[in-house]
Amino acid sequence: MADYQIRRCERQLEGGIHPETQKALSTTDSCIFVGDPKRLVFPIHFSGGGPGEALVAVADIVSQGTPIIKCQSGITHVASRAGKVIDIIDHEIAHPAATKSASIIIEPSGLEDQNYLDPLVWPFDADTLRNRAIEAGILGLGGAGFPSFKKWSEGMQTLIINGAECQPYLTTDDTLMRIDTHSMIRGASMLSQSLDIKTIIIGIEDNKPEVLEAIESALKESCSDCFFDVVLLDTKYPSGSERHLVWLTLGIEVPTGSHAVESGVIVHNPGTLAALSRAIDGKPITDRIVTLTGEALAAPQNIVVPIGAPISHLIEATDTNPESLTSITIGGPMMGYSVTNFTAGITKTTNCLLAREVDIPPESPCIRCGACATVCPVRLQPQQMVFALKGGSLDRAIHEGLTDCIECAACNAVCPSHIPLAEWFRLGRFEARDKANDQRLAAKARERFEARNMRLKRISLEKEAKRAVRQAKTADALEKARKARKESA
Amino acid sequence: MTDALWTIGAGVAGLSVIALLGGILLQYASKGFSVDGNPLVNSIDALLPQTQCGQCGHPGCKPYAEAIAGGEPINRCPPGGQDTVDRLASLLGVDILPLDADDATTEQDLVAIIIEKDCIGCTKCIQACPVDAIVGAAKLMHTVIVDECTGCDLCVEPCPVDCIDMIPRPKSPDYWMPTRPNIISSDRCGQIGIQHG
Repeated sequence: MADYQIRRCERQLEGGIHPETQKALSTTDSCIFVGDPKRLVFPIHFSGGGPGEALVAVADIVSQGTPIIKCQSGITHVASRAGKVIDIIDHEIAHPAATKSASIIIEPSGLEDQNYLDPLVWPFDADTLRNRAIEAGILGLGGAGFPSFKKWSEGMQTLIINGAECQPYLTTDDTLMRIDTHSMIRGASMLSQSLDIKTIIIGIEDNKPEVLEAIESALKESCSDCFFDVVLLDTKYPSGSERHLVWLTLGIEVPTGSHAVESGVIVHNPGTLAALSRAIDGKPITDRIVTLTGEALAAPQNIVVPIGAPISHLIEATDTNPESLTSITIGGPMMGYSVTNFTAGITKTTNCLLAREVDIPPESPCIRCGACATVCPVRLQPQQMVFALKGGSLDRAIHEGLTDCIECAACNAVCPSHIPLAEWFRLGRFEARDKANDQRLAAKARERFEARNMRLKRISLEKEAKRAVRQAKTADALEKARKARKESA
Repeated sequence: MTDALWTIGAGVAGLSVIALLGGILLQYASKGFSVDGNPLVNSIDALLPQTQCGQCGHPGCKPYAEAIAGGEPINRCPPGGQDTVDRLASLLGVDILPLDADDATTEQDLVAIIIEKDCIGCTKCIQACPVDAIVGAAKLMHTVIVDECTGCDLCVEPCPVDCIDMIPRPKSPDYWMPTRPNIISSDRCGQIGIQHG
């Protein structure tokens, strides 16, 4: 039995909102596997882990687990089913960029042909685990898709399992923590032991009593050496935001401009840790749990689907005709984005497909009510930032704290004028990122310009010195010749 | 009488000593904490885009920064655009001027690219590049280090075989920008003055 405690969180989230959670809609006892789709789509540059390069060519035969994409960060994505590469073309992608991008299309053959990695045998060190995470394509499965191995530096004190799942409608993590509890705890323990972390915190919102039961019984059976601290959080959005969860569970305020890792805390999604546990056994990420929910679906539920399966295939799994829907939201009602083309394949970061009719009333002028500032969990003044951004003054928005915005969209939810504040902030943050990049390039150019000027100056000084020496020599020789002539005369 | 003189004398002497100490301290501070160059020039230079293109009529951004510190108009930097003019106006506390440039094409972020099969290896572009972003040797093909190129286009004109093109700066394949939300009619358009703090 592992050493553990269950406690209620004593801290309160500042700001935040209590939206209708709607989680009962998709909550089911089990999680079904759906059949394989006719084709799988893997975007080369948008699968998570940065721009990539294809490792296969058209007409190649791949097994389940064959590496097909290598990303700039090192992360490898594998074929989720055995089959044949039928094309590499520009294809619709499930991404807020909503563009077409180069994608590998695989036609599953239905064969049980697996090409897995060798299982790792305990004890292994952190480097072995990092390499394994790279080979198995382990990314943050919560939605951001950050390469997990980058968080695993030395000197970390705490691992937090982020099971808050504060966003309405989503039950992905809830399902995973109920049906795959052992994998999650095993993954967390192995990671902690290889990084010499003693404490694992599991943060869950108090609307998931079944998860708490499952975790408790799993911990009783577990033989982990780590101490598990299960923290029950008040149900409030956005308590699952990384920096807020760190504050709620540990009381550590992550400074602006830095990440939790810099405060000695690793935060992972439960799915990531379960996937890591399987990766240790040799199985790369080939499938994930996706919540299919929303009032417009006939049978909302959680399903296990192969990565790359088209959105339409998932919609069909809920007994709904994809043609009856005009658009679908990926990633939940608060922070999700909408897609209209259902041929795009799901990626490792697709946690939820939400289909519902929402009437968003037209935007009206801001009435300066300050409701957005009251709910902002980062204590910003959203109305001030949106004035600045609408007026085209990015500098001023940054001055107001734009770069600290977590885009949780709590401000959107309470705005009586229906101003799309979070959309403005997302755009502003992207522009700020570009601007910072420009400034970095300018600094480099300044350095090179000055180095070149110095070099040119040095060369001209050297030339000058040489010329002076030459002139002195000539003058010398002339003088001598003159003397010689005088003497001979 | 003598007492009064003593009192005045002590006061004068005391103040003199304080003045002397203060003088020594100031002298030390002016030497010890002196800043090389004009600090204003550095703050101006930090706002300029560092393309080193010379379109302002100065051989690089730093010389233009020095000229601005000396009173030259702040609107002569086309690569920086109106944004840079605004920031300079805010820094220097002067009026915002309209940008002194021909058209909007200056807004584009370009880089130079050498058509390598046409290059004769004359090294003229290498000499023209203000940031050493072109590599090559005499009679051998040259090429542009795209990451270092500022897009100043100073290399285009000296090329005797016209083998240098200016193209939009290549973006990472996973680069994207969110769409811009709509502005409604009640939103004030145009610039909000940049007055910080």
